[in-house]
Amino acid sequence: MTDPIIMIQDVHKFFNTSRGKFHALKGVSLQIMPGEVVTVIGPSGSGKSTLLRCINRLETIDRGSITVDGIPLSGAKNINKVRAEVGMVFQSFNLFPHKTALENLMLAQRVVRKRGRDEAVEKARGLLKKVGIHDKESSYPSQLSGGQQQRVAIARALAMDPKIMLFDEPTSALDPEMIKEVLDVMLELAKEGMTMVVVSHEMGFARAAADRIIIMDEGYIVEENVPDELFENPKSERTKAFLSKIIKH
Amino acid sequence: MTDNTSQAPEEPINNRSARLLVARAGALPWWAFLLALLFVYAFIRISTSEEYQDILDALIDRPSATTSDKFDVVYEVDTEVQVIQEALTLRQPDGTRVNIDIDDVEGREEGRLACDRQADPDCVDQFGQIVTYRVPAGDGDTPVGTAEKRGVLAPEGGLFTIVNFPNGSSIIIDPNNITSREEGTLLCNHVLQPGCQDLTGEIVTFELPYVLKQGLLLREDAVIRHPDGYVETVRPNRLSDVETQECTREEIETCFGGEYTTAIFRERVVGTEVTSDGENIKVRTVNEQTVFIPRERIINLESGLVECDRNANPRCQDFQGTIVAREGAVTSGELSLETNRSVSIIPEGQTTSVEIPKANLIQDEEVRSPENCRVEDEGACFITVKEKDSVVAGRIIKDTDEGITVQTVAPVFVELDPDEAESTRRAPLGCALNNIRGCNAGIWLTLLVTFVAYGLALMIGLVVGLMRVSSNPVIYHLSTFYVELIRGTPLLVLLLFFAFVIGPTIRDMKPINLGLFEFSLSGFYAILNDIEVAVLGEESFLSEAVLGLAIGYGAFLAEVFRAGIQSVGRGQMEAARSLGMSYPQAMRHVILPQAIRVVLPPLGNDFIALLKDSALITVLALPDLLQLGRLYITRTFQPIPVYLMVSLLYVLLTLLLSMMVRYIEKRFKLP
Ligand SMILES: Nc1ncnc2c1ncn2[C@@H]1O[C@H](COP(=O)(O)OP(=O)(O)O)[C@@H](O)[C@H]1O
Ligand SMILES: [Mg+2]
Repeated sequence: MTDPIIMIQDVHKFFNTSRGKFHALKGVSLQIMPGEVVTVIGPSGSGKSTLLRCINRLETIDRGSITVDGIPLSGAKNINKVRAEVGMVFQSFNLFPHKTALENLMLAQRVVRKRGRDEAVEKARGLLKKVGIHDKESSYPSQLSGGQQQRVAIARALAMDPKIMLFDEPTSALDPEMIKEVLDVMLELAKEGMTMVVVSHEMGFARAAADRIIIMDEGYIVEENVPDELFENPKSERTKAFLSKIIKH
Repeated sequence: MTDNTSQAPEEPINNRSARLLVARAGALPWWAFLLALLFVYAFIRISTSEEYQDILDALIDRPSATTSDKFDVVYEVDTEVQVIQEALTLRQPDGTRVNIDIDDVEGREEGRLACDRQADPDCVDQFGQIVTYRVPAGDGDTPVGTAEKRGVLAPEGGLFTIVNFPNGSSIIIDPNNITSREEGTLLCNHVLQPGCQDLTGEIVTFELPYVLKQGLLLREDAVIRHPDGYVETVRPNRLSDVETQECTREEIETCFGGEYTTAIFRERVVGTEVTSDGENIKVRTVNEQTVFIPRERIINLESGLVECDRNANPRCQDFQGTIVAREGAVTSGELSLETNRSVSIIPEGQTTSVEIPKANLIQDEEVRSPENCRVEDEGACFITVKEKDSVVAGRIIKDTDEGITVQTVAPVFVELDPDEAESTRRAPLGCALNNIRGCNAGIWLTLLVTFVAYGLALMIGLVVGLMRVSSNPVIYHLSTFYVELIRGTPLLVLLLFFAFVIGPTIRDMKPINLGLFEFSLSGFYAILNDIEVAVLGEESFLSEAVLGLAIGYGAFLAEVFRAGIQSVGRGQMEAARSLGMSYPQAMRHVILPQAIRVVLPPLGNDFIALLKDSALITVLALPDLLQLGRLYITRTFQPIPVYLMVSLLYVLLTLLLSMMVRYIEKRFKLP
């Protein structure tokens, strides 16, 4: 039996706000095995993004522990090394607007992985081809559609050869006709055996690719199950209410 | 793309660019036309008016094609000199001064010299270096010791034993104090006392009782003799390696008192570098001066001894030359200024006035029209004056049908081997195309100060701007303090503060010992001084001005950078960090490149504002555009055209620079 690649144990997270401390994660525990695809759903403000951001320490945790690929995050000397192993895709793409698509893919390779120019270019071209936009390599982000931008963002994360990919609502900022091209790329990745944690309300993707679905609400994990089970007979009332809302869409 | 345009026929391109021009012009605001009109007017005025061209020349330090006066140089060369005397000048407690020989000094210390209130009830105690020295004991004194002296015994005569010294003085001694006697000659110092006599006879060595006195050190001098015979008084601290050996007058003519003292003197050669052929450098230390005398004004011409001008060159020698009696010149024109000492006249057909001392004029030959008119009178006062006949002495260097040219002061050249120079300082001189470094005044200085201060301000602004977004509270508060402090100080006050408070403080600061190494701000000050000399040719407030402007504008630019950095979305930093970049890497590769584009327009605005604020350095007497204008006004009393021209040039500069800024903005614009 292999060890989990992500181990989250009793994690608490507080935010300092003007109205005092806000308890965003209230004792979350979760284990994800290598190659597993986990989809996280839940109402807005339930702490999904916070959980995701804790996994690559964009947020620090206040209690509990997170271990990624055997490295405990709280003690990690070089968090940048861990981050390079964990790719992240944002809802708002966050491409570097002053760089072309190709350069977006090359920057971290050169700066973090210290790859040579030719190697970085080759890798970047290969990935752009994989996500289907090799003909736009010298376009700036502002010259690309939302779907194309998000695919470049995925390719940018993949360029670092990550072991884990985190997706934070990758399709919710996209026009409906562009959602599919991004989901296709993600399905492809899932098929290749990438470990993925996906915050998304795209039930089609969850059904097709997810090994497990996690439901979050108000900082707790309220339910987790394999997709079919969960959709057919959700256990908690909250899950039922939430599912009825998103499936109507 | 390029192929297309190059293959297209000539005509359409011209048409197209013409149409483009019209289209662009149509898009310009109305005031641009007003400005253009103003420029056309100014251009016409300048190109047709000699007066404006004079002003323009003065303001921009217009470069000539070539110049041979490239640098003012100061070389320091070590020469072996003879030390003739070292003496101290002291103030005695009663207020009088006394010169004492360095041999008579018993001790020195920092302290207070109590003044003699019996001699002068109002006197004040003095602080400084107190020198204790020996004086031969007088009748009523109780000696505190004895010093050995040598003199020549006067021929026996009478009751007293008299000893003579080569300097002409003599004293009466107690014969019991004589310790030894020998026959010989005591040599006199004929350099300090021309015409003195060596003393031959019975030389006695005797003990002279002395008492001690104290005085406040005023000056220390050493009289030295150069190898070429030139004698001068210098500060002893410029002498090193002082050595004394015994000598006789037969060996060395300038042997005094049986001793010959040499020292290494660090001599400064100051002048204009004329040629440097790679090996030797020729320096003109004294400028040549010539006088042209028209043939009709020559009264008499004879050869004779020309006394050289020791003010121009202390080491010069009189020479056999020509002495010309010259008839006084007649000058007539409009009287522009009259003082007790001189009259200033604008000769007919000229624009600048000549000043003639009244002492040189023949009073009876002065004619004014209207009669007895004065400068203050309404209307012009025309005057004709005649100078007295005078004598010009020198060498005739040019003799033509019109007249002769007499060189009254010859140029002095010194050839130097640059390898022998202990230190070199070169200050640029004439502004010319082959000597760009000489272009250091007027518009050039304004531009130089603006660009350098702005460059520094950019660096300060960037660093402080980054500190202002730091999460470290110490760094954040430190940078905020700087920004608030500097933004609250008027730039003019900041400049004066740098020039008169910070500058002198740094200059006089003692080195700080940090254990491992010594840290000296005064060394930093010295470096800045060297830069000033290299740029302007003299020590000035240039570096203080540049630093003041840079630190003042650094505070503004810091806020610009801070705003720019904060304008880049949080997501950019997160994306960069999530890819494994460190904070500095993300700043450098992701945040700053975007922030710079955002802040380019405000940076450009501040650049132009700095150009205009650079006019403030005028208060530190730096020869920038405005200062040259003001100097020109003090010469010509014409504020209106000069200030017009100064303003015009500033407008022109800002227009050019804002075009440059816009070009840069365009270059960096993202698609
Ligand atoms: N940086 C922050 N400061 C304060 N509160 C935050 C911060 N980030 C998130 N929160 C709060 O934490 C809760 C969970 O946020 P988030 O994880 O983004 O929810 P979601 O499930 O919609 O992604 C929200 O109520 C949000 O307001
Ligand atoms: Mg979210």
